[in-house]
Order: sequence, then structure tokens, then C-alpha cells
Amino acid sequence: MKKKITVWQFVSQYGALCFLIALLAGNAVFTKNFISINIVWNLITQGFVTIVVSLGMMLVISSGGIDLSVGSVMPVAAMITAKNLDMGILPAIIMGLIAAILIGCFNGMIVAVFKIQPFIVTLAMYMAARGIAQLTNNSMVYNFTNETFNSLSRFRIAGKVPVQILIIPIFLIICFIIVKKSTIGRYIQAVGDNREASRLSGVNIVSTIIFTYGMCSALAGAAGIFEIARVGASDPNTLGLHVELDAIAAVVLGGTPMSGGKINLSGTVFAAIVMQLIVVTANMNNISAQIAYIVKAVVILVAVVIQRRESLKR
Amino acid sequence: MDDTKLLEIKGLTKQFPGVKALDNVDFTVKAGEVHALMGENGAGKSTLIKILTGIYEKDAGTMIFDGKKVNFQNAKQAQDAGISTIYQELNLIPQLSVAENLYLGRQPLTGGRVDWKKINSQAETFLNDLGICIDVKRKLNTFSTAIQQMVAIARGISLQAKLMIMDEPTSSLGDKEVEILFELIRKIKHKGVATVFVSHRLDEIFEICDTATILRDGKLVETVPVESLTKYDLITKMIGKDAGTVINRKNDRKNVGNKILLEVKDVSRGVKVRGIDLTIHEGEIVGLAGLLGSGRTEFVRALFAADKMESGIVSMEGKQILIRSPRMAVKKGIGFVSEDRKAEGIIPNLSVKENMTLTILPKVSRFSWINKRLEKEKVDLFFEKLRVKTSGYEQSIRNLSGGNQQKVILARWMATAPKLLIMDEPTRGIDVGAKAEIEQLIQEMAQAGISILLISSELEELIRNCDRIAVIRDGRKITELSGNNMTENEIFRVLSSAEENENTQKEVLG
Repeated sequence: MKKKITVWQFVSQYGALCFLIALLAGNAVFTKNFISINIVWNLITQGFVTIVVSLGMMLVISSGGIDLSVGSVMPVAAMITAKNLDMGILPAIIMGLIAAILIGCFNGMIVAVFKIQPFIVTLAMYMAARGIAQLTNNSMVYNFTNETFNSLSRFRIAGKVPVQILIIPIFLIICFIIVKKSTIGRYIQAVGDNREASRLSGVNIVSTIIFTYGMCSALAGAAGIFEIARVGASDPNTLGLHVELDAIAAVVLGGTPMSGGKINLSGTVFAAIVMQLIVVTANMNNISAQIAYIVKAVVILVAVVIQRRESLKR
Repeated sequence: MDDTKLLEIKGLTKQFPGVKALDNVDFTVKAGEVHALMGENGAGKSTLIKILTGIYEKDAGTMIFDGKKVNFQNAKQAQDAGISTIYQELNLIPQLSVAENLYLGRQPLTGGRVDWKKINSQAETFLNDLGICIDVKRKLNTFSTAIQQMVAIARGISLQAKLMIMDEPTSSLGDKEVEILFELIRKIKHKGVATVFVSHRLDEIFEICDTATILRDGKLVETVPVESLTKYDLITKMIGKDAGTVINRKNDRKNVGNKILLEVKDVSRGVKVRGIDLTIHEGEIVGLAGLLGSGRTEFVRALFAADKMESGIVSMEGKQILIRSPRMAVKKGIGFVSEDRKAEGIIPNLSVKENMTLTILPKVSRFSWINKRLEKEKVDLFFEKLRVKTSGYEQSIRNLSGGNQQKVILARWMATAPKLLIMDEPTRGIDVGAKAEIEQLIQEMAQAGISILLISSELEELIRNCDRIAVIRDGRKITELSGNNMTENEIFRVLSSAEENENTQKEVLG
């Protein structure tokens, strides 16, 4: 009896990791040519956007909110960066990121100061930011050639290992510091878990929430910039489309409660990889993308049911 | 009351990982009696109730209910058998009308349609019969908690319940509401319905209960008629050591300063707070007495800026200050322990440590980087001072007992080195042992020079702890009592005389 409980608790805490291992094992047995180092590299390059955006979404969800606008912030940051590459890569990237951060802070301000539901605020921004991105180039794909910029995402260490293997840890470390080491991370989780108690303890709710949305947008913007560096062109119509769904799914599967509160950082990362791995698995087995969608849905539901089971018991 | 056994439990045992929650407990309830289930937190009361209502499954023992051997697998089976539970958090639907709630799931139909007229008139007769005269068409959430509770009880009765389980039904009720509830309990008693009654307020046990079963550490201590008990006996049996260590403690501090710490004038907010003046000295414990809804909570919330103060002047240490938010209040050295620990006190899923240091994070960090060693030192220091019992700093605070949660929240504020600590019902819903400890802490804090503003519904608690008591009624301070004037009778006298004055005033005003 006692052992059974701990197994369930383990699954709910490390559900995403369990799924990941199960998927890898299943693939190793059933998918031809799966066990190769290339699969790891592909997973990392293709999963990059989901991982980075999920980290930001994790912060927002932990604070008790949600950010539907991340997929539209990506092309805004990307378009601004792409169009200003002539000014130099670093200034262009900084401009793109500032645009993203401003959008995020605006979201956060409306949510915190006017106390409007995050769902509504970021839904509006989801539409508005997409529009802004399209306006920058009349809804047309913007092509650019800049080898150095492209190498941010295309460079392969020793001709094999994708550069993302170095970039992802940078984002992870930033988020790890925020979540585990900094006061703001503590405040985010406290506000998400019990906003009124936090307020009465003297926590600055407004600045906490503005920071959270600003950080989420910054991460989304960065994901957008790295993505166009990989593709070599910026498409304001499709870049980042539906990414918010994968990100929300990754956070939930990762074990951070939808209602806000305690963050599960490693869970989010593993879950984001699971999301990508499902797609890769489908591709390699000639299973249609539609089936992959359904599988993702099932995985998310099962994860949430397990979470729920645990929290009900308390 | 007849002597037929309605419920007979023998040898009930329930094991949780690492702890025996119930160990061979016998529990018998006769038809039509009001039976108190007593014990400190963790004594096994709630486990027993949960087994009785089908939420937990027993490991061993037999249960005979209404002549039949039973073993409930879920809450529905228990309800169908005739056991109804009234929790503090009600399981009714607040947006529906009283009548709808009463007949939820079994509305009388006429030709396939819900017959509202019939529902309403049936509900009204039924409630009147129980002495509850309210408009059954009004939404449930427009009524006070007490009325809502009564509707829940009425629903239980209408479902043919033979046993009502009331788990701390009075913890959020005022004195008058408690009286109304007790009236109802007596009514259903005459109908032969038995009640299992759980409350931390001992006075209530003596007022309403016939029999008491006392549990300690999962074991049965004794089942006795309440008449044969004194309060002293009861506490001694519950805590397993002489009650003298807990009650009869005299307030023997002698160092109340003469320096004025805080002076507030004419504090107002809406109709609840209508111009309250109050002065608090350094190291002084000032009590606020008043009925529920008198405006005492609203007053302290306005003072802490938890709600906006509409008008009023606040001076601290001689300087006039303006407090616009709780954050500013904290910076000025004011702390606030809310009456609703669950909703406004604990951050449930964060750890005990994180809960404690929430107010002092800037003090244990540099450039937003938390110094974990310094943080742990602070936690060690205050947990030792406050004798917090926890199996680890990283455990979620919601796993702690109410008393320990409250101590963590006190630690949260003590760590800020406050000048003034406002405490709204700090001992509500906390068992006797922990309650005594918290009262002890209040004394120690005052001894250390911290001023305390204490609200409590228990007048004894105020009298025991306070140097001075301000009596609040209808948002105004009627009078202040100190020294030998601080007695329950005097407070009641003041409260009721004020009522008369007000009534005559109303008459004069027409």
C-alpha cells in the first residue's frame, strides 16, 4: 500500500520524465534507425522553440495567469530583428527583444493594474501582435542573407553538433536562477499560489506580474529570433503559429499547476521535449501529423488526470 | 432521548503510512443525542468522521448503523444510509435559491416540468417547521453563513438523515448565530436525529452536548456524559496532562510602556467603520471586542490598508503617516495576521520555509539573489523561538496542523521585527494546546516591546491577554475597559446598553 502511493507520487512529480523515457524506449524498439545520435541533434534543433517558449509560459502560469500571445510576439521580435540586421546583428536582436519585452510588460500591466483576466488580455494581444508583425512587411515573407546571423542557429560544432546544445542551457540557467535563486521567482510562485495572502504579506503584486509577462515575452521573442536565423527568412503570417498551445501543454504535462503556484522547471523541459518527440516519432514512422495531434492530446489529458489524482488526495 | 444505539463502532483501526490514525476505537451514538467528539488536532477526529462518511476505508473494526452492519465505500452510500455531514465549507450551490438547494436532484415534477410553486411552498413549510423563517426564493449566497449552514442541515433532514455530523460548524459564526444553530440542533434532536458535534470551543460542548467522546493520539480516552465533566477535566483528558499548564495563566507583564506607538483618529470606511479613535502604547496588548459584523475586522483591515481607508488620521511614533498599501504598512513596521488563515494567510503549496521568509526576502538576499544560508538561519531562529513542529522546512505548509500553520505565519511577521502586530482571531480553529502556546507567544512578543492589536470572539481570551479592551459596536468604539473592569459581564453590559441607547435614538429619530 505504502509503496503504491509513492509510485503514484513519483509519476505525478516526474510524469514528463516518465513519458519521455517511455517514448524513447518505445521508439528504440519500434522505430527503425531511431537509435542514432542524429535523432538527438534533430530533437534539439526542432524542439528549441517549444522549449524556450515553454519556459516563459511556465513563469506566467505559475503566477496564476496565462499568455496566449507568445506565438504572435515571436514574429514581432523576428521581423524587427530581420529588418534591422543592417545596423548590426547585436543591435538588431536587442531591438527585437525590447519590442517583445514592451509587449509583455503591457500585458502584465493590464492584467495587474486593471485586474483583467489574463486570458482576455493576452488573447487581444495574440491578435494585435500578429497584426503588427504583418504590418512590418505587408504580410509578406521577408528574406535576408546574413551568414553570421544564420550561424546563430545553423552552426554545428565540429561540423556535427548543433549550436543549440549550448544555447538551450543558457536559457535554462537563466530560468533556474529566476525560479530557485531569486526573490522574484519566489514572489511569482507565492502570488500564483495565493495572491491575497501574498499581498497582505507585503509582496508587490503589480511589479511581480509585469516582470513575469515581460520575461515570458522576452523568451518568446528570443525563440522567434533564433527561429528565423535557422530558416533564413521571416514569415510574419506563420512564424510562431500555435506555439502557445504546445507551450501550455508542456507546462501542464511538466507538473506546474494550471491554477498557479509551485514551478516544476525540469518537468517543463522534459515535457517540451516530449511534445517534439511525439512529432518526430510520427514522422519517422510515416504516421500522419493528425495522429500526432491526437496522441499529444491523450498524453496531456493522462498527465493532468494523474496530477489531479494526487492533488485530490491531499 | 431513548437509549437505542443508532451507531455502534467497535475496534476501529486505520493505519496511514507511518502513523496509526485510529487505534482500536469504540464509538457509540444513541438516537437523538448530541455527541461531542473531542481531541486535539491529530487525535483522530477527522479520520473517524471520514470513515463514518465513506471517504476513507477502515483497516479493521465493525460498524453497525441503524441495526445493520455497514462498510461505506463512498460518501453517497453513507448519505443514502442516513448519515449527513455539515462541513464548514458547505456543499451547497450558492447561486441557486434556498428552495432549489433543498430539493436539488429530486425536484417534484408536474407533467415533466419542474413545479416551482410546489418546490417553493414545500420548502417554506419544511423550513418553518424547523423554525427557519426565510425567503426560500432568495439565492443562498445572499444569506449569512449561519443561515446557509441551517439550509444544509435542513437538506440533510429532508433526506431522512438519522445522524448529522457537524465538523466545526460554529467556527465562522458569531455568538447570536451560534444560538440560532443550537436552537436548530435541539429541534432536530426532538425529531430523534442524533448529532456528532466537533468544536474547539469548549463552552459550546457544555451548552449543547449530552455525551462526549475524547480521543487522544488515535486512541479512545473515554466516553462520558458531559454533565459529569468540568472544563478542567475535559482539557486534561484531551491533552493528557494537567490542564493547569494551559489555562488559568495570569497576565503578569509589568512593562507596558508609556510611549505612544500608534494613534489613529476618526478611521472610517463605508458603513462598517464609522470613525474609530484608538491609541496603542509600546508593548501594549489592546483587544478589540465586539460581535461578528461589528466592524472590528474592517477597522484593522483599513488600518493595515488591506482595504482602503476612506478617512482617518494615523500617527506613528508622533509622526503622521499615510499607509496606502499593505506593502507600505509592512515597511512602517506593521504586521497583520488575517482571520482567514487558509484564504489570506498561508501560501498552501509553498514550503514551510518559503512561507516564513516571504516578508523578509529582501533582508536575506543581495541584488535579488537569495542567500540560502542566511534564509535558513532565520528560519532556524524563529522556528525555535516559536516551537514550530515540522518534519522538514521543504514540506508544503498545508500539510501542517492549523496550530503549526499559524505559528509559521507568526514567525513570518516576527521576522520583520514589527512595531505593531495586528492579529485577527489568531487562535480560531486551533486546538487547545497550540492555542495556549500562541497566547504565550503573544505575551512574549509584548514583553519584547511589540505592540499587539488583538481581535477575538472569545471574550475570555481577550480578558486573559489584553491590557486594555476597546469595545466596538456598529463601526464605533463605545468604550474602553481596563484593569478590573475587564470582565465578560462588563463587556456584555456595555454592548447591550449601547444597544438600548441606539434603539431609543432610533425611536426619537422616528
